[in-house]
Amino acid sequence: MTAASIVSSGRPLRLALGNRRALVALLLLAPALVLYVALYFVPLFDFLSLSVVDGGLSTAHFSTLLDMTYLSVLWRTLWMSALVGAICTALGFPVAYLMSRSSAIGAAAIGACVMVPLWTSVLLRTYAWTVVLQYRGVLNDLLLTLGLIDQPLRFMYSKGAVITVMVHVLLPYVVLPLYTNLASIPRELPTAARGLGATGLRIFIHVTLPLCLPGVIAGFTLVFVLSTGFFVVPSLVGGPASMMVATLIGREISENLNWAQGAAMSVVLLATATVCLAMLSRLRHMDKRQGSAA
Amino acid sequence: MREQQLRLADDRTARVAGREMRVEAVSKKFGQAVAVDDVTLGISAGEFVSLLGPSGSGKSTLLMIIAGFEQPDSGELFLGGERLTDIPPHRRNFGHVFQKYALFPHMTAAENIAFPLKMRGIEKAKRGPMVANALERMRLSALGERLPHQLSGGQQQRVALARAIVFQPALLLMDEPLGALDKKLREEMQIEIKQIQRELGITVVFVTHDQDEALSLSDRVAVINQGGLSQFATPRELYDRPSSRFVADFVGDNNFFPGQLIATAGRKGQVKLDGGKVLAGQLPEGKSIALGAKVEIAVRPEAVSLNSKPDSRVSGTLIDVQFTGGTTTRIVRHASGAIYLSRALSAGSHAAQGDAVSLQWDETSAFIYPADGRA
Repeated sequence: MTAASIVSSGRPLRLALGNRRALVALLLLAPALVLYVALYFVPLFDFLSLSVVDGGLSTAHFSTLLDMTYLSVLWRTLWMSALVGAICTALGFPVAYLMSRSSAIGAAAIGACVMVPLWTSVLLRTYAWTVVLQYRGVLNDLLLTLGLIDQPLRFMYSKGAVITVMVHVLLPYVVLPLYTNLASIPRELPTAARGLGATGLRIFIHVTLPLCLPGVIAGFTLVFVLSTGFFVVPSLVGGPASMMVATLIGREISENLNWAQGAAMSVVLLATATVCLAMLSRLRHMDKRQGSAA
Repeated sequence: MREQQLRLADDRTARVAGREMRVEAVSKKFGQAVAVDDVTLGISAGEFVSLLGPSGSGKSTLLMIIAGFEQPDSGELFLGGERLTDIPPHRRNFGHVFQKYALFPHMTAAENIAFPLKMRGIEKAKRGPMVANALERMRLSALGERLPHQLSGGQQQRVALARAIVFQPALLLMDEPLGALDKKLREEMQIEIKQIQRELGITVVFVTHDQDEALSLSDRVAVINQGGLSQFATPRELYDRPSSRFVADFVGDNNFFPGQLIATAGRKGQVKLDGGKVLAGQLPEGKSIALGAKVEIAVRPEAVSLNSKPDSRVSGTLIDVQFTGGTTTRIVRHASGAIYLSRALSAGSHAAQGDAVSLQWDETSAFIYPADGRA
């Protein structure tokens, strides 16, 4: 290639412009990047590195994790998180669907009802649930009054209590992505399906559901990931049989003062959650066709 | 046995394709607004009918009522003599082509076309050849595995059409299906639609606001204005014998001369123009206009010739000559400010811009309408 052709192609000029743009972008990103690295990545790395440093490099803290307690708590964390995600998706779907079919005002009103609980602290809401669920609590009173039971039941400190409260707290996280997805499906598609001979249920199965699958997966993923790290709810309304990893890590650090062990537990939780996330993300992109629906 | 079944299926489709559709005294209100006002239409089997009207005229609502997506407040629908009014859209067996195609984005072209067959419970083995056939007919055979977003506008349009006809619908409904295409593609699709309609002998109801499209495609055109049916006639009749001021104005170009009806004799009337001149014209069929009523005379531009010697007729100044290929349009401004058109094959008058001219026409091509009459 001759010098002339390089100049005439205009590439050096464009390259220079590209560099300038990249520089501007970098400058704009810099404040957030610095904060993120300084306040998040460095402390996280610092903390997680405790798990492998014990005098020298060591895997001792990981081998102790192979005992049944930790593994069973980890397994319970995963399945309970998946269950919470599934229940939230099932309960959130009709709400999101109704929102997407409502007028702008209707959708805003339902949206507000979904969002308002997010403005109250999780701690407060969890305590509110203990009032409802405890032995002499609101729920038992109600059931006794209705004559459905003769003796108060033990709701608190069970897996059921943990799951109930977590679903309550996490429901908005599945409604919002689902609503965005459902609202983006053009109205004429269900109409067209009906005109072509489909009944309500078949329209839902063949048209609406496949088109909102990305929203379903996004909502489920969000709730699942948030659940795996849940600390307040399992600690307050759960018992030993419903303990989740975050509680175990908290106890290791604040009661046993074993930071290294807590860090090792965190590494395993983070790795497991990342693997689950990657699998869900793969599921979402497995069918490339969904790209056009968004 | 199998052959007999196939023959039965053929008989049924033969009977289904091209059925007559009757709309009887259908009205529909949205709140206080009248969308469709007492419309009665008889569409023959195998006929191509356009619903033509300005936007907001109620033509799309009428189509939605025929499709079953909207329920009429009053009136009835009949398909081949059977009452259709209460049958839900998914059981009417009509094909639809929507304005924005409404292809399912998560299905390939072939899957989109197979959808109505699947909904009708036709087994997979039989669907395959039917879909392949529809793809071939629409020249889409190579594109069956593409998703809608991988197709051009014209190709999407053809998939939508294939999907609407693959199940041999009793009626094909199209709502401004060519609105999103550019002029050339539009004209190609018009030819294609017309050809398919003829081959299949299918009855078509086609909504458009484009009069050229309506006139060139249709056997008959229903002109809709403010929810009501203004005229239902062949394109030729619509152009040559518009039944109202609205149709005369909406379909094609027209010159209007306001005045007062001063005398009638049979189908002929005398109108005293606002300038004082008296001109003759044809009175509309089946409608009587009171003497002394305000009327307008309508004359098509191609019926108007220009005379460079101002005489007793309407006169004005030639302000522009527009050459548009096949024809030349001459624009004349009247002393009152009104603009009149004269259109002729390229030769025509020799008058030059700025000349005083008078307008001439045969009185058989002048039509008298009540002024501002809606119907």
